[in-house]
Amino acid sequence: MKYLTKATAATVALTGSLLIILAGCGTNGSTSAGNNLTASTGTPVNGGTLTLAQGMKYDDQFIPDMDASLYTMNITQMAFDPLLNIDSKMNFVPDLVQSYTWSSDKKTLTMNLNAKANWTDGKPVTSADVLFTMNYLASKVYNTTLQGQYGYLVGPVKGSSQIMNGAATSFAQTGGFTQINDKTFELHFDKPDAAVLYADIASILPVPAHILKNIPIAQWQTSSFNKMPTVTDGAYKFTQVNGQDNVQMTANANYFRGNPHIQHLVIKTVTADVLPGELANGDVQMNLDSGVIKPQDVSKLKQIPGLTVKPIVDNGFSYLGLKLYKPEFRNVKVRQAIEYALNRPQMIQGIMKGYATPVCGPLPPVSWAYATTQDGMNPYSYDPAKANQLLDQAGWKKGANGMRIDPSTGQQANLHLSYSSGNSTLQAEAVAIAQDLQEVGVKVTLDSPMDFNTLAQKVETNDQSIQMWLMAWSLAVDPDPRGLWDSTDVMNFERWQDPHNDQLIAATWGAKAFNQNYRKQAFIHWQMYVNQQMPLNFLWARDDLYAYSNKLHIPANDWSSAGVLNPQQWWLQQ
Amino acid sequence: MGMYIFRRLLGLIPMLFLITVAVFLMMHAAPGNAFDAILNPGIKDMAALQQRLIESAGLNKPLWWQYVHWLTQFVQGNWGYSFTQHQLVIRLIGPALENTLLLAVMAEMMTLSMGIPVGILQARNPYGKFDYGVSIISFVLFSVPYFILAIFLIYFFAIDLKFFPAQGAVGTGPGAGSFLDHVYHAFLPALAMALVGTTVYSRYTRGTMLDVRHEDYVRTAFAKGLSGSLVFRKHVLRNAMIPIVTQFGYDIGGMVGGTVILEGLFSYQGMGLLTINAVNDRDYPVLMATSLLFAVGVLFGNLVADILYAVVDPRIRYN
Repeated sequence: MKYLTKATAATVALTGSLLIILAGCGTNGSTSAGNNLTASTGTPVNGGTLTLAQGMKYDDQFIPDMDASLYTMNITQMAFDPLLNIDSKMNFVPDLVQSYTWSSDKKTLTMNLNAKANWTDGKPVTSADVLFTMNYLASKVYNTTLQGQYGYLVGPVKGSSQIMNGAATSFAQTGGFTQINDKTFELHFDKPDAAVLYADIASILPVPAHILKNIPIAQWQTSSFNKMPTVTDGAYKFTQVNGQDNVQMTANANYFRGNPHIQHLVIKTVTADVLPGELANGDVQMNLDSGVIKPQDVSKLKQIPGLTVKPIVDNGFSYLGLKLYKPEFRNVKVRQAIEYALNRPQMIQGIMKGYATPVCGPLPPVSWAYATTQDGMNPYSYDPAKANQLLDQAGWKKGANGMRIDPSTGQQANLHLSYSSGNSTLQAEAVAIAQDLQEVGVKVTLDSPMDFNTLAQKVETNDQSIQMWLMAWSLAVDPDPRGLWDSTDVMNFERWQDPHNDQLIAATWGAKAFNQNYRKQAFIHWQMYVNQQMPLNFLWARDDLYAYSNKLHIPANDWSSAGVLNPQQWWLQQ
Repeated sequence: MGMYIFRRLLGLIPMLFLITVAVFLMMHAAPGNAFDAILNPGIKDMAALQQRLIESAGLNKPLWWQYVHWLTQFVQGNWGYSFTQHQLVIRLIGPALENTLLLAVMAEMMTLSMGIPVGILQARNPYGKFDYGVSIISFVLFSVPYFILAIFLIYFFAIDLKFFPAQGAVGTGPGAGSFLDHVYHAFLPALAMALVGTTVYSRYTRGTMLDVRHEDYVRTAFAKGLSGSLVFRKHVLRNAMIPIVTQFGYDIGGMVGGTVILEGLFSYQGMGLLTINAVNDRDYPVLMATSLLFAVGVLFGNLVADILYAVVDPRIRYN
């Protein structure tokens, strides 16, 4: 993910702090609302207008998956439902798909759509809609001319490559899709894959085939439907789209999961600098994207009366990357020593203002597959003595000046740390890491910050100048490690090539992993291996921060790091 | 004059061509491309996706081919697709340019309507209370960074008093998107720009008028018994306008560019934000189009300034 603010935001960061101070000063005899978990109590009332803010503009194209922006997706998901939803504990639960079964060979998935699921024009959501959507996601146009970032959702379905290269146009032709009836269909896969349902298929957002089938996909971008979909199946439907400024929606009275309590939604772009003021004066009731609130803003936000700030542990982690092909990092003891040397609790308090949780493995605590210290994970608690001991064992002896000698060069070690510009948090992290490693005798030089695209390109292409770097991953709901951790993955930026690791990963999605208990154990084994090998240095899982009016009632079980789950259950006190 | 304008317009063509070449080369000199930053862990085969997108965008072709392709498409009206927003560039530029031009025109109108009269009043009664008062205010406004001023304007006029919207170029409800709605939303950012601009114009006007009023021909005009207001209007102000016209020409040139920081603060979707995002995202088609528009704006602004010189100064004639 792009764990960076835009340069523009960085430029006005100073002014943002000023406005927060102003908003805070505007409170008279303020009381800290704190984490008001009782806000969801009471009898729901219907009506009202909820105004939600996002820190960055959306792209005004709302056919699902046409745009890869998080800010666009946040809006689209209010109007279109996925095949499967998740609950607050990241378990998959029914949505458009009411139930499903796997064949005995685990190559065929039969799915039953909810009988009550209809489009807003009254027509039912059918198997044909799902097929139509899958064909769009696999199409050559989508995967070349358009951005194609969600083609992976249908990648494992039989025949996807044929559609992508233009040899076929439908999964019905390739044997990947069989329509049983209007509400039941089968998906066929080449091989058993326990992750495919949750990591891929569940997130498909069907589009109405009866509306879009007469428009060539190449023309969807410029279609009026893309600018403002008129037929949807989610909790809310579009009523007005004002360019990239704001979107207005109204409740879908025929929503199959229940009539939404809140009648109208307004989703608009509000910069991080102005959000506290708009929250204070009631123009905005909640931030829809968590990135718009920074940890250092929370104490001021808490001074605004009638406002609650809620932290949710993010499904991701920040890390210190290491290029493992560099001789400095080949010895596992060096990597472990670095992890021990980093005073992460202090960094979390100082830099993240306490809004983060230390992690020591590839899955954050919010994941159902998260391995704990009880499972055998080493927490790598801050221990400079242990770090010194490991460095000694690795042959990194201290020189006369107390600084360590890199045995691969025979010279004083000097590790270079790269990070991206425009983010004061990253700057502080880099300084803290350099200081902590200095404490154990390892010199770290901070390279000049560079813009995110440049850093990403250098890290991805193994540029010689990159040795260590700071980044963060935002993970998918399903913990499938592929994409990041397999030896051949492009985003395995560390270039960690380890056949045993690949075997452990294969066990998390192989045929046996259809058994959830087996899969969880497979994940635990894999995490413990990563924890021991420390191919990168794990820092923390940050908190997603939300500020909302106490008049907005959100059920306690509807908070998740995946964002809004059941907006139809939210209500506004009048 | 007509021939002169025609010749100047013709002269713009090679200039614009050179600018596009320079921008194109600089853009490609920066490391990375728009697709390097696609970092979605859900995508299992990222290499294949990136390769498809690079080929589709033509980034695997030689640079000269890319430039010629862009140029031939551009002159035919096909400005291409944004690499990151995946929309037609022309559709992105349209609303952004509209917003930026409205904001710039409003700010310029406020600036001129406040700055020049205030400068004239100061020059008519120099070293008095009004002159000193305005000078002090001018120095304060000029010293405070305009984004700090903008923050205070947002806080007092939008957050506290709710006279104006704090964010966006368009509101909500039935009137959203109307011309009045646009003007209403542009007022506060325009004022933030105009407050600083006003100080510049008032100082220019005051200074040049004070210089001109001591010229011999002004003394002669007074000696001939002409009224003070007539002398100031016909002899002092007109001659004092030349540096102001130069500044106005620069202003016109900068109108298309927008202001990144102000647009960011007001979440005002204009050319400034569009361009800076395109730079950060290596969105070449958008960047080429906005750069070309900026160049046209600057060159056109210079042309307008030259024409206005002739209007205010009878000694200047173009043949």
